Amino acid sequence: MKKITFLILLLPFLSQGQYTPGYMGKKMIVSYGLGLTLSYGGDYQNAENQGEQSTKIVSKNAVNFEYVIGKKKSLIVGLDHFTTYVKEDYAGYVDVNGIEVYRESIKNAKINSIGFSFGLKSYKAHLAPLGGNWEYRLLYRKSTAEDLITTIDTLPVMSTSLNQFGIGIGYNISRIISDCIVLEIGLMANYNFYLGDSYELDLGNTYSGSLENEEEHYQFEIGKRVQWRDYFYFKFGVGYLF
Amino acid sequence: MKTAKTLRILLLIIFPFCSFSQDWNYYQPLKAKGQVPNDFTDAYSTKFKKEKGQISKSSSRKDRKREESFHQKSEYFIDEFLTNGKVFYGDTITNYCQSVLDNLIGDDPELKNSIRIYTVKTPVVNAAATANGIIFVNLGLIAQMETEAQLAYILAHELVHFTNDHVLDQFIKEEKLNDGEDLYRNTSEDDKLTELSNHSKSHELEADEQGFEDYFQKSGYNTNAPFEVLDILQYAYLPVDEVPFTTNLFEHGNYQIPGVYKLEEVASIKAVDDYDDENSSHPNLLKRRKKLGRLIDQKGGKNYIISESLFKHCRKIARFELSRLHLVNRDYVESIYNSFLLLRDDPENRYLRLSVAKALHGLTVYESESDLYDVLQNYEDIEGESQNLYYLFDQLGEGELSVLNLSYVYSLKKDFPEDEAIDKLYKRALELLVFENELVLDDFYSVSLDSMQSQAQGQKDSIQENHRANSKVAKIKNKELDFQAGDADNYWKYAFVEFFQDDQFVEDMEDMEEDFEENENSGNKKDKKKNNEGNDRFSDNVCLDIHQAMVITPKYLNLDQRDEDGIKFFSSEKNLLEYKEILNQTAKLVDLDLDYLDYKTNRGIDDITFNQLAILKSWVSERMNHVNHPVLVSDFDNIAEAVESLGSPYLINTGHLSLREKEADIFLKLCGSIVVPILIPFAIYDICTPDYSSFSYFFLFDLNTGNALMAEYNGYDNKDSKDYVKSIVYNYMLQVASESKE
Repeated sequence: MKKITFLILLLPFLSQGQYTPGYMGKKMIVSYGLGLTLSYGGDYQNAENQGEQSTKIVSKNAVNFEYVIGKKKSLIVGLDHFTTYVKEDYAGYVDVNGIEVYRESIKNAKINSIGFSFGLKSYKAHLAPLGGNWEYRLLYRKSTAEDLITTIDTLPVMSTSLNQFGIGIGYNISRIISDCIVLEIGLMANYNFYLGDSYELDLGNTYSGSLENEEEHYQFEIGKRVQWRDYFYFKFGVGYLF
Repeated sequence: MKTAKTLRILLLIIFPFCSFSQDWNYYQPLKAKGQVPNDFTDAYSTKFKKEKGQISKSSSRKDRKREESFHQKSEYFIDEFLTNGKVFYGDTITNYCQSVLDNLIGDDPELKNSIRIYTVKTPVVNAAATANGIIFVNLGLIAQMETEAQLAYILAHELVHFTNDHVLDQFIKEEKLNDGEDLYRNTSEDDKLTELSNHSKSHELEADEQGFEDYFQKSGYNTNAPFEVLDILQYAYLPVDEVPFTTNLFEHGNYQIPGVYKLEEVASIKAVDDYDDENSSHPNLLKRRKKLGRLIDQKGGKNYIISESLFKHCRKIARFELSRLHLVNRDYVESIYNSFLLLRDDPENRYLRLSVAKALHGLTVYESESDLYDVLQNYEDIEGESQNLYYLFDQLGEGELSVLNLSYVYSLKKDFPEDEAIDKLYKRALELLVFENELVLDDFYSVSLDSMQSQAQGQKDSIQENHRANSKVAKIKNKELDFQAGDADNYWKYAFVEFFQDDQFVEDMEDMEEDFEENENSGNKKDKKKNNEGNDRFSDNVCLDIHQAMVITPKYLNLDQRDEDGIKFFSSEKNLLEYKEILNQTAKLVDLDLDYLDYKTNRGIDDITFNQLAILKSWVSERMNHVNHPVLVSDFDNIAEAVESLGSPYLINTGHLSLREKEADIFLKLCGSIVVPILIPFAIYDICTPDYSSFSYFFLFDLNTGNALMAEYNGYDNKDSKDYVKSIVYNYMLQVASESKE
């Protein structure tokens, strides 16, 4: 991690050896990006309304730093955040301290997902950072889910976090106004991989057997949900060029 | 008559020192003099507004719109023509033509004030009148004229085109045809073309007739002149004279070009006057002759009213200019033939001989690049005496042209040893001979063929007297001597027999041979050329470390494929101003001091700048045509003054073009998006948004060496919005000003 950070900080100086016009000599962009995608599924559900699905537009917020390193290439580092929800129903018997307990749980968990990415932009027909470009990213995403509602009060709140790595590819078109404002629209597609079984459980009590399975299943659902949310989205960005 | 006499006296007073004291040996290209007319410096939009203001309000709305459309186009193209660097004012020829015209017009000050005459530096035999009162007279026309009366008739003809609004009338006719108006509702395309052609022809006949009756006849000129003009026009495509070409021009001493390089008979001249003029804008010459024949019933009149000597002086200038103009157009053989014709009267003329040397240089370079036929017309297509010259160059074998080139230019150098221009051509000729043809001193004979033959005979005689006369050795030696003495076929090997006596020549050849050997022996075979003159660097990124340069008339063009006109006149002008601002802005960012050579500047231009512009535009135009061929641009010796006064030898030629395309394949896009639904938003976006293609170019020349230090062109599929243009231009400027990091 330290090495990567060092490289990123060093890059502006490395790129001085190459021919990099940038835009009128400006090479650095700091931008805010809004990602929009369609989400299909249930968000908040209550026990009486199970099975109702809906589609809505959900958003992702991102901050990006882009630095031009060549005539048609730039490096990009970004931080993004989005929230989403997962619904997971469970009804059945669980073993609680040796006692079989019937339990119905509906988990309507809010997932907070923070991503860190870095990558490369390759500008097609124009000089970076202007015009159409292909974007390639490596992502690291940490998602935490909290809050579940169960029908059994004694069961503790569970929180789960999930780590994912992913790769992304996208296409954008950027324009520059007044020599300093950058506007960008694009499409991005990501694929996130689960990272084994790494999750944390914050449980007041120890459970075994089916409840642990439930947690794994729950984590799986979180991961899937995050993956779906991150698959494909439209991007709209505005930034400052300096 | 009185007016003519006064004019003649005035001319004789005004012109003697500036016109007749021309140093023909060091002939300088024709220059403009005096205040630059507004025609050159006013913005296109200004000129259009002026013409628009003169549209009659009594016409119908449709007619007024048509006339406005006409002026929009007409003023634009005239403006482009005026600023192409070939149009001159205030020079000797222009002033003379003005005098002839004033004499024709007589006492009509309003008409006189409406007309401006300008000379055009082109070898094309033509004159033209515009709707806004400009008459262009080509140097090619002046060169072909035989008398002042003939010139006067042509000017009278052009005058009628202006006074009768023929140009506007033709345009409106075309509009009506295209709109299917009135009688033309159901006219087919072919019939429309015929109708237009006939309308134009009627204008020409009217100009012939009215020009003669209203202006020419009254002026007292020879009434036979109109027929003489038609004769000249019939043969206008031929050189100014029809004289058998002789290779004496290139020969000297022992260098004699064999007769096999001469045609037994040249192609006859096939020009006729009754050619098919069905789709032509002009009636054929026979029709014009007949019409004039019915009109002209009296013979008599003068061939000269203004001044015979001035006419001949102007014609000589025009003919001298032709040698240069043909060089600029890469018509090297035409240039040589023209110079050949003029050299008959002045065989030692330096300017003409230098023109021949420049033409030979051009031909030799193209031949060395195996592109001779880019600049040499097929001799079979040539008529008349000049065909022999084309044939000669077509027949010369490998190396022979290079030998001819060096032989000619060295002979010239011997007559003008201190001349820098000749010296430059000489050095290039040496280089071409040694580097391109790998010919060295040993390949040439230092004694004449006669000497060699008598020497060989002497040796053979002494062998015969010897007791070994019939031996094997004697027979072999005799054969060797026969071979040497019989090398008459390689006539070119005797080209330098006289030059071998000159230590300087021998030394220069030996130095060049040494350089060649060094180059051959060096590990990495560098460019064969001794120096890089004329070579181009088309590197993707160059870093030139240049901090002062001139930009010559930047160009900007906005086109619209959907539009009948094609060109968006006003936005082109507006965008050009913005483009200049962008050039300034980006130059400042990279610490590049940029200056402009342009007709339209806020501070105005004087005649010195005007002439600098002309010579540099001609230089750039020729240089661009040469592309990668390392030819010395023909004006290399004429631009030194301009370079010195400009303060920088670096010249930038840049421009931008944007085309709005017609939306194509709409149906295909819609169908495709239905098949792949995810593409629907993209298809809709594509159909609803306009399609553009843009193109940008940027050339940087070193005027001293002729090198193109930078040659970049970028195409992109977007509108030419400011951010794109700025980005590209900044990239150009950065390359110009950046230091190399190697």
